[in-house]
Amino acid sequence: MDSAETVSEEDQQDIADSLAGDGEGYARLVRRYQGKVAAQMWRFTRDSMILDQLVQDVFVEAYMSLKGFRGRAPFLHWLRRVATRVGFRYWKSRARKEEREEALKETILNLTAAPETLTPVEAADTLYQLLGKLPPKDRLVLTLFYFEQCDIHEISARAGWNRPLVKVRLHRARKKLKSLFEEAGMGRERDG
Amino acid sequence: MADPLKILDDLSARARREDSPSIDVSSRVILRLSREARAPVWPMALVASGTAVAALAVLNISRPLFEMLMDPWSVFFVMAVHVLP
Repeated sequence: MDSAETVSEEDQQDIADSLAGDGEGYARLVRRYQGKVAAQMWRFTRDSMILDQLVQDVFVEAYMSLKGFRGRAPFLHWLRRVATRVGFRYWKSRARKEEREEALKETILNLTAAPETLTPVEAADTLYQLLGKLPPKDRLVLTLFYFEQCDIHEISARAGWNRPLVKVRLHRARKKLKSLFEEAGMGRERDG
Repeated sequence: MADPLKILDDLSARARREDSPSIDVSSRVILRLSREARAPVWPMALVASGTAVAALAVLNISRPLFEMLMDPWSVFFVMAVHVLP
């Protein structure tokens, strides 16, 4: 996670410049954080063209609500919340178009290859496909918990859900995932 | 047989080692903002100030007329001048 607990001086200056209408001030903020935002948005898509678009969307949306940034926590924390909102909205728009259940068993059965034999890219692809079979809310809570290693507090902040709700959603999403594994013939203890 | 949540843990641990693609969107973000952000700000300010000026003008013009109509002697005087022979 991000270590600093306050807004850095250079961020403060660039935010003030941006609010005063200085485009270069905001460009400096974009250049400073686009790598971290891209890494986060890479959890929401595996297509580099879409990634580019999503990262742009995050910074455009962040600019539009920059006046609402209170400065009580680092700028990156706030930016990650905006990014989560953008990514979640992207999933929801796709979920309406796609058939989520397609090739479900195939994806799970591919996991019979032990995770430790996969390269990081293969592991990330598999995880992305696997979680993509779940509804967007379940997918978001598991992505933040497993992919991003967020705790309940951080998931609550990023997703805008209260903590009890995060706990309930995490529990249900794990349960759903377990049952998907079982339907595909994995995750059950053998008889005898 | 493997526990699904254990598989998920192992898979995530490996997936987190992946490097995301490097991108540079700063110039495109600024370009988009110059198109999308400027438009709503200036016209709204103009509209707001324009509306305020118009409202003040209407109030200033209509106030004497309003006061005159509320005063019975003024009404009588106006009628006496324009209606009586």
